[in-house]
Amino acid sequence: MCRMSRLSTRAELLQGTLDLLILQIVSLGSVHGYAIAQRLNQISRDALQVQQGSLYPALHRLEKRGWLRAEWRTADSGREAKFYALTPAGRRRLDVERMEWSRLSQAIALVLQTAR
Amino acid sequence: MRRDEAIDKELQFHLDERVADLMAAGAAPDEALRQARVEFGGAVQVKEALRDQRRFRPIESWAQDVRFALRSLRRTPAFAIAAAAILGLGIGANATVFSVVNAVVLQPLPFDRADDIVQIRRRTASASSFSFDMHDYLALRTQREALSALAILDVFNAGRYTMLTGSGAESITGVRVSAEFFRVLGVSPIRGRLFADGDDVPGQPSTAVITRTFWNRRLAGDPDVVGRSLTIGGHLYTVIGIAPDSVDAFGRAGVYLILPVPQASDDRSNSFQVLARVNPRVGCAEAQAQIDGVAHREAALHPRLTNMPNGVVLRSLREEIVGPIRPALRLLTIAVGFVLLVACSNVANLVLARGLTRRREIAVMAALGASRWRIVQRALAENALLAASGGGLGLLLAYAAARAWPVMAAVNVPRADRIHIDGRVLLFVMSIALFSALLAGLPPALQLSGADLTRWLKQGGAQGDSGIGGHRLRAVLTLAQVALSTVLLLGAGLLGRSFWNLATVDPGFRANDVLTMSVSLTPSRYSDSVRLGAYSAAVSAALERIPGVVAASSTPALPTDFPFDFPVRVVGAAADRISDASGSTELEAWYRSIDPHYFAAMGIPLVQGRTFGDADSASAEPSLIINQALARAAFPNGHAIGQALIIGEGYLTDARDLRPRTIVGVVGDTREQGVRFAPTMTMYLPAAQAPEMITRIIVEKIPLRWVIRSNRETSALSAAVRQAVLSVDPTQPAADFAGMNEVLARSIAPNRFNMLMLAIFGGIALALAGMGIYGLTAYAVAQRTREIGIRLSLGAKPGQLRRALIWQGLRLCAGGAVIGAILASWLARFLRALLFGVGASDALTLVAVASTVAAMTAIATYLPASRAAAIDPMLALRQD
Repeated sequence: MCRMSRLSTRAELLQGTLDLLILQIVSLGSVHGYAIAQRLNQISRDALQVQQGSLYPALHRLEKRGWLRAEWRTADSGREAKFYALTPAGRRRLDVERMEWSRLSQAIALVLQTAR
Repeated sequence: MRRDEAIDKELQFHLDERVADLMAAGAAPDEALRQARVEFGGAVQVKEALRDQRRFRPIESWAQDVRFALRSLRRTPAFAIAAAAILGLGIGANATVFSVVNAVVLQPLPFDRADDIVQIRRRTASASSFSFDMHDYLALRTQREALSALAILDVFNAGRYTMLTGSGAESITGVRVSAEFFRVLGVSPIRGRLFADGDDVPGQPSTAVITRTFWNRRLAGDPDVVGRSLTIGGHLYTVIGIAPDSVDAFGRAGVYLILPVPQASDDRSNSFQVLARVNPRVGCAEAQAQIDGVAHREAALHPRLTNMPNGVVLRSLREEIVGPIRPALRLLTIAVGFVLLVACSNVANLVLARGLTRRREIAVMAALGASRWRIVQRALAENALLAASGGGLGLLLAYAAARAWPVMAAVNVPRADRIHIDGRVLLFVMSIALFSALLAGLPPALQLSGADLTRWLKQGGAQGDSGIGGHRLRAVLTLAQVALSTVLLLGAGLLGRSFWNLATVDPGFRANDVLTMSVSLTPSRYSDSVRLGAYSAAVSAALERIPGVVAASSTPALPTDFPFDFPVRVVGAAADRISDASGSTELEAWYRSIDPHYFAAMGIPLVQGRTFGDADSASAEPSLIINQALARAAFPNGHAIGQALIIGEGYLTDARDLRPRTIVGVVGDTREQGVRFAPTMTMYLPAAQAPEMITRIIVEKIPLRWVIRSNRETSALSAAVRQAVLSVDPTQPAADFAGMNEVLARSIAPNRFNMLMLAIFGGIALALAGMGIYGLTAYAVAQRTREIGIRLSLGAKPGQLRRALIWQGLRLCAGGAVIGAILASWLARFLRALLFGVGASDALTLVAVASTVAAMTAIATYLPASRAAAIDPMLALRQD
């Protein structure tokens, strides 16, 4: 029973933070799904292993909410790939998510320092 | 590009790129492909999750959900069956009551523009009465603009008539109506014609209209029935046409006889009722004002003749028919609503308990990016399936009940034969099934999918186990069940107490071993008191010759039959004393003209003086026996014997009938109006000395009743009684055999029915609540096995532990019972009209219900608590 609830907790955390990370990466320029996965791994120095299984649903969800815009273009490898870019709404969302994240991490840091 | 293709292409691109990268890093092609796939996870699941996000094809996802739900329900058949059965019970109870409400209240009467049909009632001091006399009807007839039709009919005669047939005499149901009756109802003939204006003018031939059923059943569908002559009540009537059976919606008569309406009348018998059709151009409000005006003018013009000094009220026919049963229907509707709520919360509990084991599945869905709505939707699909099967079951239940209703004729639901499952009932069942699916499914679904909700909690730092939230929700649901079943049980308890009070109240006579029957007299044969008195004495004597019969007597009405009262006035010296006391010398007393052995037959005790004997003949000095209630009211000083009363002043016209009648005896009080009501003031006259006008009313309008006391089984008596009655006059058959106990039981049958229904519903609710408490405790024990093991190993005593668990259950149930009691006291106003001899907040009922609920809780918690106490600490600790 306990194990199950832990699993669901991690999934939730992942979902929330994954959105932020995706928005951040896409904000740097139009990019396809594989590149997003690669960049996540690179930037976080492999500390964040993103399951591709959750990456694509997240991308589609963000697209549907109007935060990402998608279009099919030719990739460097010469094949057709789906490229994602940030919409104005997505940019605003990114600001919000960023702010929430920093507030949360500050709060946690504060707790960690003072409750020692 | 189709969406599926797009998804495939996007994911394929990802895989290919990864393989290329891995190969560029030096991996072998096979190895690269394998690793890329492992990293990617299940491509199928990802695609599924992506498809789930597509809202624009909801049907497909619903169908998918339903398939999924079917699979998962098949895996847990016990849960599926239990949940469907519980919902079926709740929905079935509601569907049953709704089918009755639908037939009785919602369906329009089977007449054209039925809302325009009204009954005209006399306003009385406190309320209104439907009984009318001929004089007032004629007065109302002068106003014709507001009403497009105005009919008068016999009120008492919607009962028995004797019809002569080729082989003998038959008892039939009929009613005398004036010519406009069918125009009021707005029906057309099936054959021949209905009454036309002028048919009711005195001197016109006597005509009759029969219903289709009567035509088929009694006259064997005779094709030449129009024009045929029938001898009914000693009169020759010519059948002029056949009316549709829909006219029965009003009375239950098979034959409609023409009632001659004179030009003028001094009739004040109040033995008619008046029906009218409001002119649609005038409207009900205006018609009410106009007719009321006529009544007031008549009251000013002929104050001594009219019986409507306070004017009249128009009440719709529908209200007349539906009104009396409405409190019971309202009560039942509330009760079954509660049962449905209990059933839903019970199923919600089951779903929750099961949902806890499904959290992994839900977590995976959430991890794959399914939205919360998507998860709720999937959970609801399962409940929709359960509710659909529950709805089907409920429909079957309602169907069975609809067929059983007419059988339960004792309940006397008007239009019971029209109760059936129609489109409206189907629609109702579908909507409450949907409602139950939501009610039973939404709380657990939201609770289980509550990721977003708990997220904010978690950000605040509370990393609670969501199992506790589930447990709390289940406890709340159980609490609600206990509360609702407490309300139902309290209602059932109060009605039960009322019924018990009604059933055991002393009616003032001994109903055991008394057989009753009636003879519908032919007026021409027994037109005056002397002849009627001789006939009833002869029949009573013949009855008393039957072996086993102790005493027999006729009476115009049995207790509970109908009101039959006249004014009485004290005369002589005693009158002055009473006028000092109450300011009035006129009292209303119930009228009974009887044979000498009436009191012996009924078992009414003689308190003072003597009973009647053969000496009290038509030619003797008029004598009178009164009951104690009348004696107290008329002679506060207690000396009734030898005093005299005058009966029916203002009603009776014959001077001989207005002679003072000397009181020769005082008898015990009886509840003539029915056991619900206080004993009425009653007077008894020898049948032979009855006032002529009252005798005429009895002969023409009321079947004469008999009460027969025997020391034999009353049911074995009817054949001999039938014989004895025919031996006096072969043209006057006996009918309506019933034990006096039965007559009394019939008068309280609605109370019994309400009580039984509430008891059944309360029992169902209590059983469901018991299951809820059991499940809750069992689950808590299962979850806390480890903790309990630790406690036991640390030295807790099993008995202590068991008590603690039971105590926990009892606390929950106490909370529920208190909430239920509060709710019940608020709902008591719906019940008050149905109570008798018990207050709406009766302490005894409260205590009884509380102990029942507590006992149920103790039983429901005992088993799981004992299991907890029997846990082996070592095993429990090893358990993961």
